[in-house]
Order: sequence, then structure tokens, then C-alpha cells
Amino acid sequence: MVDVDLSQLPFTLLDDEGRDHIRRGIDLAYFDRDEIILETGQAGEFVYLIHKGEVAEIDPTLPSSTARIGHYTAGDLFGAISILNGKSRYRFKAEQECLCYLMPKALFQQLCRHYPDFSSFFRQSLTHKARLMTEKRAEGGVTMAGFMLAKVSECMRAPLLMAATTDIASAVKQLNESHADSLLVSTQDDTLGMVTKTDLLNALVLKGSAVTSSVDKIAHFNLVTVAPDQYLFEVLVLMTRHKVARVVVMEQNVLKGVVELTDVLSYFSSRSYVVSLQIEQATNLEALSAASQRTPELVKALMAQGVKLRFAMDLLAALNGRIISKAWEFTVDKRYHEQSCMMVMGSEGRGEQILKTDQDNGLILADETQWPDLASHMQTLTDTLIQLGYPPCPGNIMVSNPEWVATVSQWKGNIAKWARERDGDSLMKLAIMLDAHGVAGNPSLLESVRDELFERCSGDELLLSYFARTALRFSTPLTLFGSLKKPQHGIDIKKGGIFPIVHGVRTMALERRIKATSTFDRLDALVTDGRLDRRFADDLGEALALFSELRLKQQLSTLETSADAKETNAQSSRRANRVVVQNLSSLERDLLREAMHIVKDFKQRLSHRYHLEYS
Amino acid sequence: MSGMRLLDRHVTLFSGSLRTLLRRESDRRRCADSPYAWLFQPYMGEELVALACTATPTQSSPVISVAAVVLSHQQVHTSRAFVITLGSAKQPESATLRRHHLLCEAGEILPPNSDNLSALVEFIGNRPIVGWQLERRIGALNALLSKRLNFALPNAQVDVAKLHQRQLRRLHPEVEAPSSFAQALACWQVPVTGMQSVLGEATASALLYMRLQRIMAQAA
Repeated sequence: MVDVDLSQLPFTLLDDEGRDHIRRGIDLAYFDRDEIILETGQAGEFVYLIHKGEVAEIDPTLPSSTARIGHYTAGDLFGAISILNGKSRYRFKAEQECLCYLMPKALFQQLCRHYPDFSSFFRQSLTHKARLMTEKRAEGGVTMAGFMLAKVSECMRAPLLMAATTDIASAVKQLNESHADSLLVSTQDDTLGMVTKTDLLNALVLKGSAVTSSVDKIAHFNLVTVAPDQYLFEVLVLMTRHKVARVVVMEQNVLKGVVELTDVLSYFSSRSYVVSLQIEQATNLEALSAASQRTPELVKALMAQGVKLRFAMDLLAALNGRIISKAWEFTVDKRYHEQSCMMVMGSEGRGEQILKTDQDNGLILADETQWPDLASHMQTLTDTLIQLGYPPCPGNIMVSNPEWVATVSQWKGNIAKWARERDGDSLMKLAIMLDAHGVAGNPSLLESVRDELFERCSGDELLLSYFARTALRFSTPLTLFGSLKKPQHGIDIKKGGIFPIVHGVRTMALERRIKATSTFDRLDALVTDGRLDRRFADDLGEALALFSELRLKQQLSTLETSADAKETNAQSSRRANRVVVQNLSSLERDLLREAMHIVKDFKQRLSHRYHLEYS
Repeated sequence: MSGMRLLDRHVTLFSGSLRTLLRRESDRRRCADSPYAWLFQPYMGEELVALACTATPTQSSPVISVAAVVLSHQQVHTSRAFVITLGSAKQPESATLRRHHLLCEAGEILPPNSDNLSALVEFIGNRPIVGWQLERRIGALNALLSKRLNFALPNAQVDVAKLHQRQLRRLHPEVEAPSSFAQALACWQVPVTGMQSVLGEATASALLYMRLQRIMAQAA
């Protein structure tokens, strides 16, 4: 039996017996440098598992510069598709001396018959593989520990205390005013009791008590109490044991608060609840800033729980929107709210900014707005946002820049000018405007500007062609190691993966007048519109999610390291876009490879649709 | 063909001592009419057998684990490997047997009778055998074979340790230090897995052999 590491997917889909079968049935083979392991059209006889060395996948029909379409290294698997299809579609060539384990065709087919999961792994699309990875990550759940260590004091509500002699009517009134569903009553000898909404209902309806009767008749006086420094999960245990939904928090016989079951459950299910609550409750900048600082923590927790990136994005976009709109409310006088619209643009506008990387924002004013201290107000707003943790935009696309503050008709004029000029700068500004999303003020102003944008650009084939060309600007690395001078520099997934998808989808959305700004929503809309088929749109979305996720991981790890090492923002953000392929697991590499191919495919469709072949 | 290259190709066949040559010849004559006669025929094929052998001496007869794996030009047929531990469970040192078996992670425990031994020699056939410090390692096995079947392994033997030393001397004439198997594998960048088991050792020596052959072919 050969000692081979089978702890990676797809072998984890087998049981011990299946893995033993493999160990017993595989051979070792040695391939020299530049030796062809599997030729195009050759019948697949083995599944190859690389033990050492690197193998290139080559499409011999393509010119040599683009012929290398895949790259495999230690731990990777190839040749399975050749067996399933009967013959190899491409040529596999050893890039270095290689040592591979060979799994014979018969054994592979036998395993496929016995283990449906194993079999479908090789037939599945990227979407499925990505799901597998998410499931795997959710099993890890290291960050979950943070939740388990939460204390009562972090989750309790302020108590609502009334005298026991209060009548039912005023109790109900008080409950409604404070949006609570239970209150505490204290008798004259300082014993505490609790009255819930259910108690009140039962008393009024079933027992026929009068609204003027006092609440001490219906209150429960045997309460479960906890201390503020107890763990939250203990509370959960107590509640389950005593079959109650509320406990009272006491510290040395002094009432501190109440913990409700729903609060505990929401706390355990997602910390987003707390952050969003903090944002809503913030009445000053300090409180808002504190809530805003906690979003990276929330992101980590969501990732650890295996939340699909798209939903994490939606949630964070909503939270960021609320933070900015709060900041707006704090700094801008109420009388201007109707006459202006603050928009966020770029990744934030698309709702794809998970961590606060920079602020891209602008202001649309209604025509004939009188706003004397506009410039100073906007400067304060920008400064406030910086204080809240949004770094300033390197391209100075901020409300403090007068160029990004204009009235509706000025904006329309600008758009017309940009559409006419079609140079690099104008096209970039059009792209930025396309992603604009109103977060505060009067959103109808942005609507009218956007209508103008569609009016000017959607039918203009020439402009669309110019616009789409940018998507092809950066080459997409298909060989994950080959083209790099030093592999530790990694590949730039922002330029190679994220940008082409985002910009290509943006172009199509412009053509089809789709108002959604998020790339995922645009993809959905394009499917409904009939421009894309569902499968391809799903794959594109999944590829984008994968790239964003890899980038997010980098960003989170830089966030941790940059806390100790003083590093400039630009440096760390550049590094965050680079993924060092060697550090990924073989499944992640597999996914990345497939995602890169989807991007390449998409670029081809774009150049076909917008006639970019000769540009 | 240059003399050096010729020597490279056949050096392995001359590696035995005169005593083994004479012993082989007398074995051959004695077995001429037995069913084992074919084992003494010269081998004309392309395959070799990598052999690893670990013996633990006991008071009665030693416990021997053997792994034999066939290698051809490019492949090591680990799926068809032959792995057994020879030793009888009835002997007084059954604890030694158990410890040995655990250490070597080697196949089924079978009594060292002539049936099991002839299965082994028939698996090896007349193919040349390859191994690390082969002569020393298979000493116990040869003694057992002589006792039961009246002959020792007649095959041509390739000692990868000698090949390694020879190649090392060619590259660095001043180096004299004898290296261990693990050092030799690291020296030629042969990846290893499961070196502690006999099959792992046999596989590793097969890989090292292939590697050294390749280097010698390049040098020529």
C-alpha cells in the first residue's frame, strides 16, 4: 500500500475503504522534463495525481503564445476528464521532472460507480465546486469561538422598571412607547416581578381584568437572574432549563438589565444584528465611528460561517449605506436634504466594497439650489467620513472636490460632453457615474441624471465599443505560474479577473439600460433581458465571487499584519490584489483556474459583440 | 559507444563478488532439473524488481519482511507490489514478530515455508533486482532460501548505494563520506513517502535507481 496524501478534495468524498482501494491500486511514474504525458486525442488510461513537479495543459490548435491553458502542480489532479470523455481534449506536458501517481482507468471508473459524490465532482461546474469549498470552510469556523465567549453585558437591554401599583393601561402605553414586550415591576419591599405582553393579553381577554387594575396581580415574581459577566451561552442554557424567554441581569442586588431570548439567538446567529443596531442607535459621531470600526470583525465572522459572498456584500453595502447616510444627517442641515442627493460610486456604488478601501462619492444638487457654505459643508462631510474609517480617494473623487459637486443640469451637460469626447478620462468618468448609487438626500435627482446617461449612451454603438474596450486592457493570466518572474509576486486578480467582469457587465448593462448597480443584480437583469444565458451568468457571478473572496482574504490578513507594521495604504492595497498561487489549496487553485477561463471566455464574447477584434 | 557508457550500463552486473558468482553457478547446476531452473536463465526484458528487506534476528529463525515492486522504464508498479512478513506466530518470540510487523508495516504474516518462499522467488523471476545496500540487506533472506529451497537469489543485482557513491564521486571526487539512504534520496531530490515501511523503502530505491539512470544517460 502506498503512502499518499488523500486528505484533499475530491478524495475526501470517499470513505476509508475507497481511499484504501486507491492506495492499493496506484502506481508511480516518472516523467522527464518536456515529456508529453497525455497527447491530444489520446485515450485516457490513468488519472494522474502529481506528487512532485509541474505539468502544463496545452491546446495545440492555438498559437504558441496562448496555447498554455492550464497549469498543474503538486497535489493537483488531471486526466479524469479524459477518461470520462474517452479521449484527451488537450496535451499534457511535464514542465519539470514530474513524479505522478497513476490511478488506472478501471479503478477510477469503479470508484465513480460506487461513490456518486466522487463521480459528480468531476462533472460539476464551477458553481458546485465553489459550494463545496464554502461548506468546507464552514466546518472550520475558527472565528465562531468569538461568539461563544460573548458575555451577558454585551447583549443586555436596559430594564424597563415600573411601580407594582401601575395600572394595565399605562403599562401597555409604556410598552408601546419603548418598543419592548416585557417590563419589570418593583413592589414596595423591593421584590422584582415581570410582566410580558402575553400576560397582559391573558389578563385582559381571558381573565377579564379591567384596564385600571394594577399589574402586580398578573406579574411573575419568581425570576431567573444572571450576573453581567456570565457567558451568554450559560444564559441560553438557563432559559432552556427554566423554559423562560427572559432573564434579569443583577449585579450585587442591583438591577442592571434584561436579556431576551430573541436577542441571544440573533446574537449567536449573526453579529450583524449588533452592528446594525449600533449604527441605528448612534446619536453622535463617536458612537457611529465605534460601530463603523466593527465592520471588519463582522466580515470575518460572516466568512467563517460560510455565508455566500454575495449576501455578505449586500449586507455590508446596506450597513455602509446607513453609516454614510447617518454621517450626512449629522453634517448637512435638514433643509438641504430635499434639494440634493449624495451618491456613492465605484465599488461602493456597486455594493461590492466589503472592507472600507476608499471613498468615491459625489453630490447632485437640484437646479436653483441656494446653498451658501456648500464647499465648507462638503469638506466637513469628507473629513467626517475619513474619521469613520473611509480612507480618502486617491483620484480625489469626493464631495470635497468641486468637480464632483454639481446641479442636475450641469451633470447632464458633463455627461453629454464625456459621451462626445470619448477619451480615456471621459470614459472612466462615465463608468464611475454608471455605478452611482444614491445613499442620502433625494434619490430622484440621481434618477434623472441616470436617465440622461442612458439616453446619451445606450444607442451609441461607437461609444459602447470604445467603452467596452477597456475591459480587455489587462491580460488575464491563464497560466498561474508560468508568466511570472517570481512566483511569490502572485497574480493580480483585480486587473486580471475582477475588472474585466465588472466592466464588461457594466457595458452590457449600459447598452440594455439596466438600472441596477451591483454586478450580480446586473447579471440577473441581463439574464431576464435575454442577453446572457442563465448558466453563463451564474458562472460569471461565481467567478467574481471567488476573486472577491480571495482578495478579501488577502485584505483581511493585511489588515491584521498592518496593525503592527507601519505600511502605507497604497502598498498594502496593491498587495491585497495579488494572490500568491502557491499558497492556495489545490481545490482553490482548481477553482481559480476555471474562473480565469470563464473570464477569458467572457472577454471573447465582449470582443465579438462590441467589435473589438481589431482594436 | 564509449567505454565509459558501456561501463555505466553494465557496471551493475559486475558488482557481485567472485564468491557469489561461484555460488550462483553451483546453485544453477544443482537446480538444473528443478522447477526453479528458469530463474537462472538470463533476463532479456526491460523490467527490474526493487527489493527491500528488513530482518529482526531471534533465537530460532529471524523474522524477515520483504517488499518487491516491479519497475519498468518509467513506472513503478506499486499496485502490484509483493509484500510479506516471514515468521511463525508459534515461535517463542511472537512479541518480536509483532513488534517487527508494526515497525515495517509489512503485509501478511506467513510462516517461512517453501510454498511462501517459492511464491516470492517466482514473483521476482529472473529479473534483475535493485536495492539499497542490497547484498547486506538480503543476507538473511538468502540464508533462509538456501535452507528451504537450496539456492540463494540468483538474479543480477543492482546496488543503488554503489551507483550513488559512484555518481557522487564522479561529481565531487573529493567526497568520501558514506551517506545514508535518506541522505542519498535528498541528494538527488527524490521525493519520498513512507520511508519507514518496507514497501516505502523499495519504492524509494526504485525511484532513486530511475533517477540515477537518467542522470547517467544525461552525462553520457
